[in-house]
Amino acid sequence: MIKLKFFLDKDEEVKWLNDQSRKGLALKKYILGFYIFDKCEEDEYVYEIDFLNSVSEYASFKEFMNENNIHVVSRWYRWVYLRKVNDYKGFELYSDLDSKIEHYQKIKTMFKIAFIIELACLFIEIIVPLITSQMRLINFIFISIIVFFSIVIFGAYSKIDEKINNYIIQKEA
Amino acid sequence: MIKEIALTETTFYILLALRHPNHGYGIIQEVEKLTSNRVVLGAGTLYGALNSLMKKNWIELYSEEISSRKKKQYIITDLGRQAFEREVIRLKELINCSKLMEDLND
Repeated sequence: MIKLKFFLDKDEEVKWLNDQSRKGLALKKYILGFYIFDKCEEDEYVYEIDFLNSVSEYASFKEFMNENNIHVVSRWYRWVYLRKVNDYKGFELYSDLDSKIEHYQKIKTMFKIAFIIELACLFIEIIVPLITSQMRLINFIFISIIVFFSIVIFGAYSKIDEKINNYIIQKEA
Repeated sequence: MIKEIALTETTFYILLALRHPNHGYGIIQEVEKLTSNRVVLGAGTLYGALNSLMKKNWIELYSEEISSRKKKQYIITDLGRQAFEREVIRLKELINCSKLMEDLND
């Protein structure tokens, strides 16, 4: 079974994957918004999602997780989808505040870079037609699309920033 | 002298579990046992901590066996031991000082 869905918050994505597992659907592969599922026993697996430091560490990361009875189901760029057989003890990749903060910080940086790229595209989309004085409908469409994505990415960025701040407050307490 | 900051609980227990050769899963289990399930290390936390301790040369690979069947083992280095001992001195000081509070209660 294939489902198409888009998430900007990995925690919500994990929740959704676990809901699917509860219904007897185990994620097998993720490609650009497409989630490919296999049948499984209801609640057979629990899922987690991690964000690698770099794609090059994937092999050693995978090996390490395997040794801990965690199976890497799929990888997309630096995102990895992990699962283990549900032992009802919970599945938490990051167990202390420091590593939680570091984890979300990495994702935040990625959103930040994406946002800056969006702004650069927007700038080019506005400046070029102005110089060549050829502002056409197509340019407005492009600009609207870029503005839309910029807002979406900024939203995701703010949400993760809030999460990090909450952890920092907890840490200082 | 550079002022050392306190070790995190995670670092403390990983170093302790690496007083003898140990692999990832072994560290998690030993720390669980030592703390009666209070500290359950997440695999992501442990992975990051082992990498950063390796970079600091506080721990090293115990055996780099080519046979892929074997799990990767780590062990504490002298530098790691020194850091651990410094932390123990700090913790003992804390415990000693805490007695002031107990005396007050008497």
